[in-house]
Amino acid sequence: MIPRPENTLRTSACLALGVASGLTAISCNHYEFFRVAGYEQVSFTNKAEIIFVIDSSPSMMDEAADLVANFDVFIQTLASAEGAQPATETLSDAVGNYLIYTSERGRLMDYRIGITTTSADYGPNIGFENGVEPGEAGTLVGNVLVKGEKDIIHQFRRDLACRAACWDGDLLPSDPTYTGSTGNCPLPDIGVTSEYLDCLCTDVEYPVETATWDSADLCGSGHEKHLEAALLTMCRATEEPPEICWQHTGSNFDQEDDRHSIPEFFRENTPLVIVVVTDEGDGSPMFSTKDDTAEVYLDAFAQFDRDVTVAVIGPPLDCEETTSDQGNTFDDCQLTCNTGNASKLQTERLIDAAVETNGFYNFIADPREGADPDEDCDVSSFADHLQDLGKLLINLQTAFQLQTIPDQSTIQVYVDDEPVDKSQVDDDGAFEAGWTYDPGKNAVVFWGSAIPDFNQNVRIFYRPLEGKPRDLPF
Amino acid sequence: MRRITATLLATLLSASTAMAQETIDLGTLKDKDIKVVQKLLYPKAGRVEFGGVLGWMPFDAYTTTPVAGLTVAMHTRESIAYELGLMGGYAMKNSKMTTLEGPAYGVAPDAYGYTASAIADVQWSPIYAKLNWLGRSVHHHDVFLTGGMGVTYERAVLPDHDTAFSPTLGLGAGARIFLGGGKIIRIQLRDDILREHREKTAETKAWFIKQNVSLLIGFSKLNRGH
Repeated sequence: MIPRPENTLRTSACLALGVASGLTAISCNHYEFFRVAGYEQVSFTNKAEIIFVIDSSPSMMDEAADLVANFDVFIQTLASAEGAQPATETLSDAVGNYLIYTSERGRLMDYRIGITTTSADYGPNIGFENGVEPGEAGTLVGNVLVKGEKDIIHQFRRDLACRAACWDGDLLPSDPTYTGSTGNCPLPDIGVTSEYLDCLCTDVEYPVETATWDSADLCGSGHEKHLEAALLTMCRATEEPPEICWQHTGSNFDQEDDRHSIPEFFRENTPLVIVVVTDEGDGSPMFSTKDDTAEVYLDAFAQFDRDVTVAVIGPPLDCEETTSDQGNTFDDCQLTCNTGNASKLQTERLIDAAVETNGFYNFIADPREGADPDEDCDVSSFADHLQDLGKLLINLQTAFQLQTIPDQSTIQVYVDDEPVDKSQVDDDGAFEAGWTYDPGKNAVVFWGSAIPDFNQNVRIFYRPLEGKPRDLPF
Repeated sequence: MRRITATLLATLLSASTAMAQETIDLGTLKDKDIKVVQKLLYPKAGRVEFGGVLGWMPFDAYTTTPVAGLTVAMHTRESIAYELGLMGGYAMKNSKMTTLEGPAYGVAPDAYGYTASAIADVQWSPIYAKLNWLGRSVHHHDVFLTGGMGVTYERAVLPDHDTAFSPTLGLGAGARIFLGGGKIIRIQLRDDILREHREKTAETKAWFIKQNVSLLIGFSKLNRGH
């Protein structure tokens, strides 16, 4: 029950004064107060920084090949590097055509991409040498890729395939007829081949001269630490990193030498998307052995004062999913297609990171139809994963956090002053277009076609449970 | 010399006595015989007054509202009239509300803005007087009080634009300045007291008392009457 404001006595006295005097110019009107959220639409931005955290273990060879082959899908979702001009005027016209709409919206995205690996450690048994090598301890395997750069797809493929992936040349397909040459290495129709990698990696410099894309030393640590690697990259990209960067168990961050060692990556007030590609669970050092949530790392990310979303293409964990007004719940989870021998508990940490940050968790492998899900699996479609990532960037903000706990019955949501209805769960268990209130995040979440477009004005009115929203200046 | 002076004085006194005997005796004027009659240049009794008003509702905490309206009054007596007033307005957020809604406070009062009203009231005008303005001109005017009932239609300022029809008690006071030829300038202060039902907060508090205080200036005309 919401406490009533103490207005009754004041109103009566004021009214009596007014009636007694016959007339009064005293303003006695009493109004209830609502909180307003989303006033300045600051949550929407067309900028995004993206960290790909690639599992560089040997079991990931097939997945890396698929990621290399399909990266162009992701880039095309965000428009070609050349097509970066804004297309705001055509947005409303293109609503009816989802693909065009997605593409046009994507043209507005201004992204920067960095690739690191799950090897958050370094040392004599990891990589070629003792020191920190590209991709280790949160460093990037190549340069920061900036939208608008020429051949960004080629650069991404080269950084990923030649520095962050672990290949076994004997297992890769071969195509002796491949005709690519240095600087012009088209992806073969059959996907990644030895000849393609020979071409792609020709001008790549490795820590030792004799190294090639096939070197075993490129394979990362067997202890995958996805969120730790992402945290270290964030620390390296920040001019004034928070203390958590060096003051936590197992940190490989040097407060003096490593700060801002990736200076060209992060921009101010720009959302960050961490994309984890792995077939293993997360064994990052800040987790206790019983942690099945990512809370400790999400708390660390929160110290960077920017929105962080985690998207995971990870081990398939088959769960019973229940959708309700209170959000989604997952029960009775079992690992399938577990080629990387992932741990269920460590996998749940990644799922939790994705769910808590409104990202997504896609399975890295799918069981073949009718086959044993523990043995006979295919690499899932990275084209789909990367398209999901593109959508995630475009629709980065679907959740609007409220300042105080609302009386849910009073929430009113407007987009460009047009009311948005509350979402209902349809027959398939999915949310229809509209909004829901997520008490876990204390946020209003938009669904489907109700998700606000860029430049639209979102206003959320609600009465706080505490009654009067705050001290007022008048 | 003293003898001459006394003779002259006696002569003068005897002369004045002779003049008094020529005046007319009117008798004694008493209070009951005195009746002051104000010359009523602009009578209203039996006439119908048509008019229009412009005004402002400046006193609400979060809105400010320009208003306009039409009135028609039947003057049954010099001191009594029955009037129907139709008024409309456009409520705007004032600077306080804009400030509160801004990012610094993030608070939105659930203010309701005046939109329209229809009020039927009785006018009692006990005073008819003349006003000497700086010694240059004399203005005939009356002073009246009003009381009546009606209905007011308001809209929420928040984007839901919830509406409310409210029973209204209308009180007021004003003055008519007669210009001649049946033309009148009216100055009026009106205080409409509403009992308003607000849907948004119905679960916790539904009924509110609200006052709309307006300052009005208008022009009206009396018909020729009987």
